[in-house]
Amino acid sequence: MAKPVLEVKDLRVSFKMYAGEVQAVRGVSFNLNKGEVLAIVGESGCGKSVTAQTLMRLVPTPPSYIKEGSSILFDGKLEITELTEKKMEQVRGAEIGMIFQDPMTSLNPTMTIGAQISEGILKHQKVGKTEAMKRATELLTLVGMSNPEERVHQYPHELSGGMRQRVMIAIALACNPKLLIADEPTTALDVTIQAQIVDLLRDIQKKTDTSIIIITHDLGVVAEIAHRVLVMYAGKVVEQGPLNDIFYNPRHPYTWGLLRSVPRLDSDNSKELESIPGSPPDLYAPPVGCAFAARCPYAMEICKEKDPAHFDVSDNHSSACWLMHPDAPKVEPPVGIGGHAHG
Amino acid sequence: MLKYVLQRIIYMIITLWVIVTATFFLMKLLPGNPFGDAQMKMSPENFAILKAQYGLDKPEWQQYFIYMGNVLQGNFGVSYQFPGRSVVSVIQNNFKASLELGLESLIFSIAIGLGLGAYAALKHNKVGDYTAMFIAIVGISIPSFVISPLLSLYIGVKLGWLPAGLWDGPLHRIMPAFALALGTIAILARMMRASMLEVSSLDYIKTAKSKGLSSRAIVLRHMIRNAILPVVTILGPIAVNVITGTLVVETVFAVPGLGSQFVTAITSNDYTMITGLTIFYAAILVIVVFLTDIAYGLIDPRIRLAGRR
Repeated sequence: MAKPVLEVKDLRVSFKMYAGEVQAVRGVSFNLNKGEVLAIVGESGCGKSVTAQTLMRLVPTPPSYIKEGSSILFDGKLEITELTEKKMEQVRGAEIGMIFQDPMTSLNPTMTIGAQISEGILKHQKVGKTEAMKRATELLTLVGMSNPEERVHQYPHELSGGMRQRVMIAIALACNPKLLIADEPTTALDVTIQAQIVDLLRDIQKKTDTSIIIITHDLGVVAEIAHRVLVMYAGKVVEQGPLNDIFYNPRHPYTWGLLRSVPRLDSDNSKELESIPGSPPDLYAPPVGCAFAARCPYAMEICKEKDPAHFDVSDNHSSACWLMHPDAPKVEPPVGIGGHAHG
Repeated sequence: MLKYVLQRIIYMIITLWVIVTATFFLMKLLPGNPFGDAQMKMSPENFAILKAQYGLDKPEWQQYFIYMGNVLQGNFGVSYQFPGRSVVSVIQNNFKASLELGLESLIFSIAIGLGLGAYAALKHNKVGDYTAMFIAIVGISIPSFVISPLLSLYIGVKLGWLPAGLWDGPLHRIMPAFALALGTIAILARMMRASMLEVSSLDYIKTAKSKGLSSRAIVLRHMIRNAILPVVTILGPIAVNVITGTLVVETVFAVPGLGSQFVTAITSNDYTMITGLTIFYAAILVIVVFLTDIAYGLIDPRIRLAGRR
């Protein structure tokens, strides 16, 4: 098997604030293979975005800093955590592209979209202005914009939200990056537009064989596009595995909670939609044991004292929960979870 | 929009009328008269003749209506101190130097002010930021009547680097323009800094960074251009301020501008000059403020709608 595009080991990111240190990411490890789509899911404030932006070193330092012992190995040779800012500029946009959450604010209002797309091309490739503009037009065609020749001369305010997100995708793809990071690319869009953007990302992934990391809290998006899923909670990965395993054989109570919070077509309409009671812990002072213990209906004594290790469910599916320990009592997942595997 | 413009024009005329009237009567409260003081050697008969010649023997309310009638016909009267020169011709002769001084100082203020503000924002909360903002505080706290004589004395007379006064060549313009610009530099620097800091936290700056642009390119292409927008909107009133605020600086550096004419007119009770110049300056201010308001109305739909109501 080829080398993974990205190997993240024990990534820890903290923010130094006046009130103390916020441990936003507390030891995240995962691999991403070529052509793979990895979804990172979790509630707001669980460290998804910080993880994603740290992969490109986009979180400003200070206040944030990557802790000792963290490793982000890109393409088997570049250690992102140790690159100089100058080297990092050559990685950003060229090797890794990024799509942000809100297309309404992520484009410069005073530059034409053509200029904004070609900017990255001019920086990373030895081409002239006309050539870069031509490439920008091609990219707009690729992301499904009508009249690309006219669009390149337009300003962001002349485009709708969905079109702007297409422009963002064109910017991210401008230099054929090996890795595309999409930080909640659909959250700020209308539902119908969301579906179009997800379809577009999936098509592009198939056409270009780019690896994609997609951050989202929308499990519908995950089901549409992801090959593998990483469930994050309070700055840690609590469960990771292939899409079908996560949806049909989830092992972590937090994953159960997430799945049960999604409305289903086949559920009883008279019942209220489930939610996970409580809120994520304070990351100024993360709990000693399992961070989810306080909200977990299955929590045992040990959960509050010791952080669980990752237990393997299968070769590529693992869950960080004491329930997986051989000595733990057998717990059946709640009704409606698992057992619907279609493949 | 048309209704809004008409409304503004009516306000403008009322404002000018109030200013003319107030100046006219306030001026009459000044002690003394245009023809000399108590120790003058003129006989009472001659004095009465002079007064009658200039129409000062009539009651003040009559003088006021005669003057207003003249003003409406574009006649601002004849100067008392320079007999034979009309106020309009004085404005025509001397406004050029004032306008030049004002514009040069405006260019100074914009270049230095915006640069200083941008620099401070980039060095946010570091030594550079504190230094730039200290300079700005000093600039705004020292009035031009303090800085102008100091500059003229030390750089002009003692060091002899630049001419201490007069208005002959480019070198003569540096010190007056700078002295006049100081306060504006400070205001613009503070505004630019705030605006840059606001822009720097916006999402599209992160997008620019994610393209791999260097910090220099991000600052030049993405930040400054957007940060300048709010600053541009206050440039109108600031320009008026600088162009009409040349009084003291012109007097100190002996610039043959309108400001120094104004000062001499006041000290010698030159009634027609005082009212004429006041109207002229007030008109500039009111017209530029009017134009700025129209521009806002065009840019910001909220203001346009408010005007319609």
